[in-house]
Amino acid sequence: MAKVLLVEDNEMNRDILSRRLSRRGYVVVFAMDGQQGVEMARSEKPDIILMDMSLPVMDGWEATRRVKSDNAMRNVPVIGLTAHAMSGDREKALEAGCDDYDTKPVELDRLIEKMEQLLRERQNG
Amino acid sequence: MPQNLRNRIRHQLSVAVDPARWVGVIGLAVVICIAYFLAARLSLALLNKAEGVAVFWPAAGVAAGVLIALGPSARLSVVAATMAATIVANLLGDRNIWSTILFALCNAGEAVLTAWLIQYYLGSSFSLGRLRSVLGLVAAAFLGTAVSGIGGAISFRLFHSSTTSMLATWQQWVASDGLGIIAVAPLVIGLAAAARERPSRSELIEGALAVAALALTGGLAIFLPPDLLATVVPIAMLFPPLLWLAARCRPVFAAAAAFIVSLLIVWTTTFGIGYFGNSSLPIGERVLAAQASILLMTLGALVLAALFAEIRDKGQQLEIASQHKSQFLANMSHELRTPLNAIIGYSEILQEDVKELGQDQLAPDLKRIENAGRHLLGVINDILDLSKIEAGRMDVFLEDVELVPLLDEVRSIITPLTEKNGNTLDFRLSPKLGSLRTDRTKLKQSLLNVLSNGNKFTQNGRLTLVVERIEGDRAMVRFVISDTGIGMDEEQLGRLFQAFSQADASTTKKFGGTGLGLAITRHFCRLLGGDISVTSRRGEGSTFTITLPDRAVAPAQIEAAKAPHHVSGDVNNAITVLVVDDDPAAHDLLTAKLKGESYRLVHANSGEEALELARKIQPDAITLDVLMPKTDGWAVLSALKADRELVDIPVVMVTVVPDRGLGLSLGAVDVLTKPVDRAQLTALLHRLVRREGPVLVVEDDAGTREMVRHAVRKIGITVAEAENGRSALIWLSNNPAPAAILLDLMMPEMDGFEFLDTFKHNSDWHDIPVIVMTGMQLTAAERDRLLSQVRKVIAKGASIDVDIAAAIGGVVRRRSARSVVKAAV
Repeated sequence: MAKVLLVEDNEMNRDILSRRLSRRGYVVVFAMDGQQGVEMARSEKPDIILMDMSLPVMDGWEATRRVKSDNAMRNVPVIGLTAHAMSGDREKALEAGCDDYDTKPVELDRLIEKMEQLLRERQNG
Repeated sequence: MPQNLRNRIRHQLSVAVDPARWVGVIGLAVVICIAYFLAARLSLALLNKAEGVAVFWPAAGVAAGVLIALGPSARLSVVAATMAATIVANLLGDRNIWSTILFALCNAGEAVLTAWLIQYYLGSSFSLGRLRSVLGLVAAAFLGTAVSGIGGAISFRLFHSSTTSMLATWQQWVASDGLGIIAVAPLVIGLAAAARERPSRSELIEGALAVAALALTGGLAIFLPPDLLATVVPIAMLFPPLLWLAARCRPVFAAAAAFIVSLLIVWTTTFGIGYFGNSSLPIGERVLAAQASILLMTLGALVLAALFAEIRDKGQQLEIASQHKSQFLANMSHELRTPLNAIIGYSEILQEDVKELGQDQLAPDLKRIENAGRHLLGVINDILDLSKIEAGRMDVFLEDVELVPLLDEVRSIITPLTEKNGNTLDFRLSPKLGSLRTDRTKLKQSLLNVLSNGNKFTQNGRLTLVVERIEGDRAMVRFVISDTGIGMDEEQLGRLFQAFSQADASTTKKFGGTGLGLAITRHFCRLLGGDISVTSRRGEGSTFTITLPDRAVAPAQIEAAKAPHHVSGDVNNAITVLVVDDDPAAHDLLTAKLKGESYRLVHANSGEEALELARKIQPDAITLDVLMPKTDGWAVLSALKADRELVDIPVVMVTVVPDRGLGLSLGAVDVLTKPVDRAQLTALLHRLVRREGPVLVVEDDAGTREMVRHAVRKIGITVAEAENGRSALIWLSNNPAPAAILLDLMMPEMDGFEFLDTFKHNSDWHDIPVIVMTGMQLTAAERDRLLSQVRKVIAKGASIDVDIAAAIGGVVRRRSARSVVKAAV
């Protein structure tokens, strides 16, 4: 089953999403900030990354840029997660290199649909 | 305790005998003394010889003004100077030593008393920009001179065998000294303030013009024959320039203009010229008319200037308050959303749990919690949107949006809602809708708002969305959303798009919602160059029409709006090093070695490519491998040194076969042996691209300063620091120009914007590049305005150190890299 790296600093959000994803059969590993996120992306080799955008130490945009500028990790899909769709976050996330984007609180089915599509694309590509 | 006392005494003594202090006191005293003496001579020159009365005594204003401007520490200097000047001036005239001493005491005393009254009642916060201060000055001037006038009157009676009554002498003293203080002290105080604040050149020019205008109209009013002015009250002529001065200039200019006109009045009164020189009137009446005119005009100018300054001040405060409000709302919405996420998330988890456990009867309650949470979230998002719109902080992101997929998305979101209300949903899209250049999220949210609004007020009916293109002068796309719901009457339609107002307060109770959705939608549509309109009849449903231009335009905004993240990823301005090697592994190795040094590396795989790239990108330094096929490193080096454009670029040879002598003789800066030692290479590069420092960091937060200092030093540049705009200006005027300025915006005392206003007017500083670093949410317009004055705007964020290195690298690059090498060669 696919391995998901969840980068999220809020403990409850992390708990909620990781429990629900595990219940659907995903293997979930997490990082608490952007810096750790980049390190874990390198060491854990996840199939897909769920990246919160407002993170301490290094924000999600920067972390995504670093992941996407690293040859070894470039093709791991990243889904950016932000609190609110209206503040131009979507554009900023895509600009930073996110493959897709969703708002928090996530609607799990919609998020999983996006994840599965990216995972399929990655397998085919 | 005794120890304590001894220390205090010792301290007082050391202050008392501190030579620097005495140099200051005496120097100041000499300056004031000269100024006072000149003002006194001026007064005496303007004295009506026949009657011996002065219209006003400007010297009094010099002493009081200096004392108010500099505070009690100048008291000693002022007293000494005033007395000395009075004595000298009087001894030149009449030689009565006793009257001279008494006059000197009175003159010094009135200045001290006036200043003390102001200090006592207004504190040290005296400012010509405050009405309270100005009125306080007037009151203190007359109180102070009323006391000193007693001494003056006694002196005249005792030593000058004056024939006028003591009361009349006292009145004259109070009038001329009081007026002197009111007319001159504000000028002195204003000049001192202006010396501290340094008005910009354009301010000075405008101020001087306004002063000249008032002096001119004042002169006209005085000199034009009365019959020419028959239909104009002379004083009315002064109003336009007075208003100009007050509304647009610092108070010091109003004070200066009033002083100049006062002098004109005194001069013409004394010598019998013009309006005040009417020889048919007795001198006493003319003097009184002159004094009244001076008082009214000066008072008018100062009060108007203070009122306008207060209004300007209020405006600034409001702006700051509004910024704080937006910031607060942004923070608050974050604080509110975080726990809401948890509420929604855990209620969803619990729903899954109960399903697994077969406790399905609990599920509906949990669903209600989730729904309530999502509803609350929607409300918070609406409020945040609206506050951003109101604060002008809503940016627009234009892109080409394919309409059909977007409408599919909208349909999939809205369908569950319509099903709940038993409505059918009908999308009628005309063929070939194609794409629309617009803001995707805002268009989507607008459609969702209107559709869900229609759905909310429609039960078991029909919702229709018609989308079509309108060709014409300007290609548009029209979205018509109609429902078969309850509809609205005229009065409700009028209030429909206003924030916080649903058609009827009771609808809120029945149908829910904040009533913000349609207001936000209208803002969005207008932001995108279109609009929304509505037609409706009670009981027959409503029809909303959104019209958007095929290509929305907001070119200036779009680019700038994306800037903050563009900037952090953009290393085009970093120090560029061209790495030349035919072996890809060598490139990787060097890249790894220079990692974290914030250099931008450009790679060339052959000698030819290296020369071509060097011409194109003008790198700051080149590392050059020697052993390459076709053109080898030595040939490349010779070609580089033969090219006038490239000769200055420092070249480091990197080779397995070291030949230091040959390398240096061909013009290389150094020759390194492969495998390259990381420390050696970075040290060399640091030296080669070292900049002429320092970089001035203007930032109030010590922690951030420290971080920035670190980032700048890392790229080999020294750092100077200032805590706010004002101390930065002081630093700049006392030091040679820095290589660059890193400027924070939000700072106490003088913020970044104010700093830039002053900074840009000093031509000595035009060449200094300024980089703004800010944590503020800037609007596209604000960013544009800033970018017209500064080189770069960096958002304060996690990657700020990289951004700073890159930005500094860019602006301080060329001149230095070259000059260092020249010095080395």
